Amino acid sequence: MADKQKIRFKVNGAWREVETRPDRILLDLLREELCLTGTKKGCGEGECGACTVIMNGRTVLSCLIPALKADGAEIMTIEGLGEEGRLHPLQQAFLEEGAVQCGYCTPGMLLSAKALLDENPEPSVEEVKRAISGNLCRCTGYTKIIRAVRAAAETLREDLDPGQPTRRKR
Amino acid sequence: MSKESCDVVGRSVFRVDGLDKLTGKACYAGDIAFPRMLHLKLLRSDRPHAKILGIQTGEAETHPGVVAVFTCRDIPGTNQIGRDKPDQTVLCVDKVRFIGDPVAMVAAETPEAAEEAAALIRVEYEDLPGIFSPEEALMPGAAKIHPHGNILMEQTLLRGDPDQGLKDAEVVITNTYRTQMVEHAYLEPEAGVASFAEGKMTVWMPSKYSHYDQRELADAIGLPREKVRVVNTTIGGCFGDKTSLSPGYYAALAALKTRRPAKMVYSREESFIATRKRHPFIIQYTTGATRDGRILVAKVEIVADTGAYCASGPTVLVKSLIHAAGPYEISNVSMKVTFVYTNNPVGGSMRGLGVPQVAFAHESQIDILAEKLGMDPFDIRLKNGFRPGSVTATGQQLGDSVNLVETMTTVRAEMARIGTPPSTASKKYGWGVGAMFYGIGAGGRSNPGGARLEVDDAGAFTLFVGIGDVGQGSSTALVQIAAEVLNCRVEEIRVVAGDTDCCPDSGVTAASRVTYIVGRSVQIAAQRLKGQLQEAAASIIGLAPGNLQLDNGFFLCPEDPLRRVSVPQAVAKLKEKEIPLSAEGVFDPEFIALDPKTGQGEPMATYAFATQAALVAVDVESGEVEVLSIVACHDVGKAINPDCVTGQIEGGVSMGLGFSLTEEILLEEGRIRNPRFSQYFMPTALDMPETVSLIADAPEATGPFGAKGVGEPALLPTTPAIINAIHAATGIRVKELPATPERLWRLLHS
Amino acid sequence: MNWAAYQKPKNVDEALALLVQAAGRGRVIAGGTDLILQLRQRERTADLLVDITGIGDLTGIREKDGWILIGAAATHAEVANSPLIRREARALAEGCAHVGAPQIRNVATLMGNVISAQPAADGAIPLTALEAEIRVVSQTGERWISMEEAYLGVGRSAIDASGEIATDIRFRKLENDAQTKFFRISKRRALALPVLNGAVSFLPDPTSRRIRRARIALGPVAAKPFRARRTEAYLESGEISPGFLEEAARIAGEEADPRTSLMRGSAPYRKDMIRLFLARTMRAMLMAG
Repeated sequence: MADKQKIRFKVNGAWREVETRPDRILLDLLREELCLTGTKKGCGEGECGACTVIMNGRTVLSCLIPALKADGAEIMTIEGLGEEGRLHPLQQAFLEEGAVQCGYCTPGMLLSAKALLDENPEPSVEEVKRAISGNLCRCTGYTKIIRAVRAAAETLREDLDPGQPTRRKR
Repeated sequence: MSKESCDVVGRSVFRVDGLDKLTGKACYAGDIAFPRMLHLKLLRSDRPHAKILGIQTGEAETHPGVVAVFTCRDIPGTNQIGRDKPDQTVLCVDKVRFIGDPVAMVAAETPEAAEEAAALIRVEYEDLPGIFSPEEALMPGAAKIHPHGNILMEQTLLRGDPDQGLKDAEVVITNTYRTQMVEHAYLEPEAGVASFAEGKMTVWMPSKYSHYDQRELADAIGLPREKVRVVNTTIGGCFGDKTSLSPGYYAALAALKTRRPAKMVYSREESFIATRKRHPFIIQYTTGATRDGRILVAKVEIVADTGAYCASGPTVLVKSLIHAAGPYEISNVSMKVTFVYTNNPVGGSMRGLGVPQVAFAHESQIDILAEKLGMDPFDIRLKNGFRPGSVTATGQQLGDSVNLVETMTTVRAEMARIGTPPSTASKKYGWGVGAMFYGIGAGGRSNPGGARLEVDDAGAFTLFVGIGDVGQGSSTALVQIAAEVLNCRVEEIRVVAGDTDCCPDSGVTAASRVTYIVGRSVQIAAQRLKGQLQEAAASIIGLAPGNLQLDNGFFLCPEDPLRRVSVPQAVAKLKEKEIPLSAEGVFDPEFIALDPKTGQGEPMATYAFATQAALVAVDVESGEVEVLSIVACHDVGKAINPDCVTGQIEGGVSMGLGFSLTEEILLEEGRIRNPRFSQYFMPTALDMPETVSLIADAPEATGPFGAKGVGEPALLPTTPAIINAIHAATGIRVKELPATPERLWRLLHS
Repeated sequence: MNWAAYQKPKNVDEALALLVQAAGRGRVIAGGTDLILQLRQRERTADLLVDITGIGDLTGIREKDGWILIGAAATHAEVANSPLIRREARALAEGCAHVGAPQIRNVATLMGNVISAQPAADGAIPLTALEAEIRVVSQTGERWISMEEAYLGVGRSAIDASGEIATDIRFRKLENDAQTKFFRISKRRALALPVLNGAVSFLPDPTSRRIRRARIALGPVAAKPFRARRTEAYLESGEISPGFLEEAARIAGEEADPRTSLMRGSAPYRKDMIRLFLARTMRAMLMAG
């Protein structure tokens, strides 16, 4: 049995230090050692997007990332998206638009959407579809998800520039 | 049923489970861990049909980390499972019948150790001839998959005089349609965790019917049912599966034997290989009509590949029989539906229960008829389509809640508004339409729903129902129904779902029955509890209960609103009078069972109706089809939560899209060649068309606030609409699903 | 254990030293999106993984002395979004933009796409049409190998990831008149391997109606990325006319000679798709140019 190796990385804003076997996968480390079970395992082979987290500002499939690759990295999981008692505009929009059904794809979907809005504050429908093209959903048909992402984008733009007139649906 | 406007019902309130799902707090079975928990791995058959001569578990037992190894000898109770026919085993005894049949199980300290040890189990097989199609299975002298032969079940339907109908018909068309094996492919892989303490087994699992799994599981592990508790975890998609033989059973087996908590999670590959599939159908369909488009006769013969075991084959068979003639008044109908065993993966319940397959056939037939007669596809459907009071192929006269016509006219208008792009030499555009009807509830048998509502000292309500929300929004809809009756906010009602210790048996989450049947049960329970509280309040105020209204937590008399009693005060009164602080509701829709020969009867109490249209662009050189637009209109009776309803429609459309164009389980001699998401092509966000989802109202008198259902109707018209659109665009008629580019290319070039 | 140790060296020399120390039991890992699965499924084994994505020298995408250079740690997303690549080698940007899904593109490297040696490679196919070369270093020295030389067979790279490190990809910066284009058909619009992909590089002759240089790469039609050399020769041999391009496309279908495959389709269909999509691609390029 090989020695454990130490990882030090920032998860949801807090530095964490974990000792783990060298062949540990990031997804399992997050879910088990760190008890952050919000990130889901849909296939374990990088084909569904349920395990999506944001690593150093970009979405990655945590089921394919060796934990040691994340040493020194900054990770956001679903647990880090909102704040205590306050939903992120994306979460609020998903709730308002009815974009959650069984919820299993939702954490990964939200993080793909977050990464999109961090880079592109005014995405078109096609751009949203492309950003979530690596997140499979079997329940919703994506329609309300796309609407929710664009609604959240609008909210975030308003937050930055409250002077602009709002065009909120419903 | 009161027609006054509703405060809560009919509004798109936020889902009651939304917050937890959005923040990562929702607990799915795979998220559960206990100290000292064992990890389980099944060894499954790697061949489709074989006798088991012996199983050597010695090497596995001594592998580091292994705590126990199980074979059929280690099943304390009954090893046979299956609701209609217990022909399937928890662990195989003398035979394996499909690749994936479970043979042995390892319990170990880590998932890796369990997997390594499972690979060390040696099974000695004697191969038997494999049967991979119904045709092979029906040949004289074919190997018997089960002792009683290879036909699982056959049923017929006869209405009127079909032979005379054929003579009278001026146009007769006959076509054969084939549909493929399809996988549920929910994002959450099956999982279950069990813990045995103080003589009681608790199993946490996603289940579409906790009480059924509790009974079957208890029988399998040899415990009395009251010593087994099934707790429904958050369900990550179900679509008809996540029931019966599932990881929870095996976890309970291991927990009982080892006295340690145990957990099993299927790998995605295992989920593809081992779980039930949609039955592939071969449908031979003859339709006869008059020259002015009145359908006189339909003759349908269906042969379905039911795979290795019975599972819910009979349910799918009966549903197919009930719906195969489509939502059309046809006086002369004959049907024969035969479900045949093969050594292919097991056919089970998947969203639509045989009706996606028959809808593809009946909607193709009527489209072909329309073309032959020079009729508009809507006109021929309107001419024959069901209206209130129409009689179905099973001889049932429909009630008032029949709004097929509005779904058609709405879709037609929306199509005209969207328009059709002009075709070019290589890209052809066209619209196609599909219509459907779907009975709500199990067909032709009792399927009661149950609910219990409790109130506490503080006036807070708790709703107990036996079925968990599979993602479709049932918990939310049921709470809305209760809140409407109790005139309170949704937030004031807590839901406890799917816990066999405290929830009543509500029946199964299937057949689109939950809103209608369980919802009605909830409504009844809420009305009863409200009645009890109202009487208590009346006795405090000194008025007759009929003079009081419940208004935001207070019973009061409208003429003198200051004389009011709060719900907690009424509760205190009930306690004083020793009246229970709870009420139950049960609703079992009326039915008349189908006659075994003629299929005549009244199998469901109410039906949903829908029309969808699809705009496609077909690249006639490559065979590629792009669906640009879907318009859907569904008669759901009354939408309890419109966003949940349109969400179901949109999800159904994506499933129908996959069924029509891209999804297929590829089998070679019983082996699934594409058991992964990267090779099983369900739609991604980039593949999904613009979808317009509309709701038509047609209140069902026996439903809660007029509601019926939408879960399965959501996908039924999509595939026919797309296939008919391909025909409209290119003149090509696809009769075999999926309509892959290569299939279309062959048809276009032949 | 799927691997026993994981190191992330700071420079190439350190990486090589680690590999030498592991005496053949080590392996280079970049993005790892292919390798991790192969290791888990025991298609490959390794005791030590040497992660090269932290090496600064390997991260650049730049132009130098008439060459475009892409470091081994450059991801598909970085290549697809690079203004330099979009301007100078459009087909490569397009190919990289089509790999898998955004999450894969963010991690998987273009070099990894080459070393995985899969015939259906959206990054490697344009590189083949661009006649790219790979720089391989080991403790004994360095060499440049062509894309053809890089592939030994399906899943077998000429680069020995247990002892060598591929550090750079380079290809000649194309002339101003040159054009490249990528095409792809797949079973759905994301998370799917190509049923057919291809990259075309044309240098038209501005004075005549001829093509001075044609390079065509196709996949997955053979064990390696396929150069349609007969088609290229034909295209360079005559004057452009509608029938001329059609004939070239037809030759490509014959030349590639794909077999019937369960996942990709029958041989006649695949041949016809090569003909069809190559013809469309070439027509689009020449109409635009």
